[in-house]
Amino acid sequence: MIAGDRRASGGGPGRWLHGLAGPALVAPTVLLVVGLTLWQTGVFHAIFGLKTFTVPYPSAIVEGWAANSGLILDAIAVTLPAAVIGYAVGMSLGLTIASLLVLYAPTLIDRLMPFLSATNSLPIVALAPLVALFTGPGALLKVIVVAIMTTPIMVVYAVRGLREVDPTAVELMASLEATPGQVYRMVRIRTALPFIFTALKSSIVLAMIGAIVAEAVRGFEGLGFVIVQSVGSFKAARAWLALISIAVIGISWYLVMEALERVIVPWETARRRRE
Amino acid sequence: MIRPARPPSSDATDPTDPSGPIGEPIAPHHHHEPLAERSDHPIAIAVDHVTKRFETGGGRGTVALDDVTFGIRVGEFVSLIGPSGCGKSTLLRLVSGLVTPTAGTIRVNGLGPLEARRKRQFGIVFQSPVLFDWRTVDANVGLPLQVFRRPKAEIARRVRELTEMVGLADFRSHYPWQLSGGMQQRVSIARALTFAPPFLLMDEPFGALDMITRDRMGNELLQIWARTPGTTVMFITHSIPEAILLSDRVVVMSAHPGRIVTTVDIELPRPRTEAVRESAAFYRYENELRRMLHEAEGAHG
Amino acid sequence: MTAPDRPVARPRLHRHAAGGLAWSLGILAVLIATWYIAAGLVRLAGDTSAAAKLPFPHDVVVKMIDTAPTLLDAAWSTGSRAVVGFFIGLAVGTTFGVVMIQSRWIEYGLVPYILASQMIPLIALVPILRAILKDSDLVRLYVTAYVTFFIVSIAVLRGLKNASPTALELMGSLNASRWTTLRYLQFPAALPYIFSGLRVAAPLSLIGAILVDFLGARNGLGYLLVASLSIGSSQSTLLWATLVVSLFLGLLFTRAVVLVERRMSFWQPAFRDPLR
Repeated sequence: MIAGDRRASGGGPGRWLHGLAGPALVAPTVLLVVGLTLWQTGVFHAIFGLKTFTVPYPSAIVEGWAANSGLILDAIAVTLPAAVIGYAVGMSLGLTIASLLVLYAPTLIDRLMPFLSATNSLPIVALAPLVALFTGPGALLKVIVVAIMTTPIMVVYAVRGLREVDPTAVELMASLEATPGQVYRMVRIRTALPFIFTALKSSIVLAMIGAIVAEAVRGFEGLGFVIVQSVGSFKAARAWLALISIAVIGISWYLVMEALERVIVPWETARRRRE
Repeated sequence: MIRPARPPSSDATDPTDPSGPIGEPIAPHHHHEPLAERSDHPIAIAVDHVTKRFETGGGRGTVALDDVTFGIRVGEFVSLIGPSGCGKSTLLRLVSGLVTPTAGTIRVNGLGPLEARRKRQFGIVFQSPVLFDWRTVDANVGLPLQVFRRPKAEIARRVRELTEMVGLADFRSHYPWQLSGGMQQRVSIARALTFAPPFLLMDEPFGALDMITRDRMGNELLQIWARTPGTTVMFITHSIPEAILLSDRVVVMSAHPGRIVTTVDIELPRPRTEAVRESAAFYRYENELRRMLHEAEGAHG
Repeated sequence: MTAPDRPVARPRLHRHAAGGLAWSLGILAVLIATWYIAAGLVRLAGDTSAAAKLPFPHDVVVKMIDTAPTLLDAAWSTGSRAVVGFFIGLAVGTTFGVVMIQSRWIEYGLVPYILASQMIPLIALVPILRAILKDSDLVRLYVTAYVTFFIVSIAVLRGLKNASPTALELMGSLNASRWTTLRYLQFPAALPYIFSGLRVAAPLSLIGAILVDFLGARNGLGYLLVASLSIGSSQSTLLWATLVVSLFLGLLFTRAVVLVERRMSFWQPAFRDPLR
């Protein structure tokens, strides 16, 4: 009885790959090759007056891997778990607080938000030495510092997402006499997911900062400690290897969360692609 | 053809009755007879001297509806038409208990709107389809039954029936954002009908569609309605031809404050075929309604 | 942190003005009371160095008054560098944004690296930067400028693309030059995005500057934060006092951006006067 308008659009991964084939893939690669060449041939060093004992040539960094790999991998094994656990604690705590606020104290939220947003202006990581007074310099310090740093972001984004529901959707659920729990499960948490992922992605860099700064200021091991100590003893290749490890971890972690987002929130990814 | 009317509460297919599955077998094709032939049908929705004021800041309120009285019979298709600001959407929300009146009473099958809602009497179709992007067509259509915690097998059966009825059988595992606007609105209609509510409340459901799609959707709605006997429809629109095409009766409203100007019985034969749409009677109704709307506007400057 | 994909909601000023103030004071009172209770509990737990770990709020206030010159001096040396770095970052970021929109190749070449640098904790660069530059002031400028730069360049790029295709067609029909289009259409259309980015960048640039101090400077707020604990355990009051000053400075930065935004892009829906 109903014909026509079968305008179902797929938009699979083909389009994405197609986008990569053009300038999107070539341009960054060219830039990378040119940059590395200028660096390796000493052009940057000449222009900016850099010294090889602070900024070694790329080849020297690569050569340094053999001597330093064990030390760097050990440092990663110290830093990464602490950062991940602190992150997981912060994210769960933030989401729990946001959910409780939205479910049980919706009127209080508007009053609380300015205080939560104000924490954006606070160098929370500066609490690290203070927390160290209670915990000592180990993994617990990093977990707590990272959790304190990342919780407010999740609260702010999750509250916004949980409340960003379409008012008509709420009316629809009301017309079906849905319970608050059903509205939370079937509508709010779903609308909040893109916001939750924004918080998850923005918090990664904070988790790394928290762990690294705690190590640099109060630590005796880990990537943050390795950097400070290597720079102090003019082991430039080692410092740069630690720096590159941090970069690789940060980017990989981000990409993992983004892949997770694509699986869990396919509708949002599709919307972004359309825009 | 005379269909059995659905009496208020003693009905065997009462959707709140947890023992029996929802929904009667869908009738093959079944044309509603003109209102004149069944004026003995009981009143299903009674709106009695209802006024609604919305309080705005500074103690001053806006009167959305002013002393409105009208009724809808069981199985009737009634359209409310009027300029924006005439409170027709508010009226729909009052009937479904989403908004409470400032004065006056509303009875739905003898119950207050909130009680009626608790007994799951209303399927609502909004202007935007309000589909959940994270649910497939199937899961969107099944949402109400899931809210009612119905068994999975029953949900699956009803969803299959309803998606077929609205012509989306081939799109059941698609997501809303993969569908056109007309298809989305069909999903929304199917969702409103899954639990076979006695009342279908529609708030400008085709308002966001283009004219061609809109025409087709009107015809499809009539066919769907023909297959869900006994369903009472309250339909809000600002399109005169749409109101005439669909309705047994058209309620004309004016704005600022929202009032009922008049009610027009549409005594056109059903089914409303192309021939009916092109008949002289159809144009007479169109002219009559247009004149009334203009007069109502003129009366308020 | 990441630059927002699209302009995020602006803080609404002057809303619930009277009732809001009472509520804010109430919440503030609850927070302070919680602090007192926590500090009291630490002392009750028999911790001998309790006063060093968690002082009472009034101790912090007294400390702030006592050490006002030190605090203000530190706030100036960190804050002023952060502001200068912020403006450098703003200028460079805007330039990059404008350049990137001129050519797909430039955009596609640079954007991945700018985005990737947002995923990396740049603070790890600070020890190396310090070894290169040997001057904390310069490191502060570099870090704050860079933090601002990457947020602004992406925001400008997204904002310039925000101009509606129809409006671009209109400018085309008027035979407007690239520069005229940029000036009369694309730049105004980008303002909400730019300010949205700046509201994120302003406190972040300050935090960046503080972290630079934190990792080995000889003055500034971050130095006070570290020194307050390493000089003597009785000094944690100074740490709290410094944190309060940092918070106020950060809020001041953000508020300044919001005020400029309200003047420059008053036409945005969020700023429209409801009475008009």
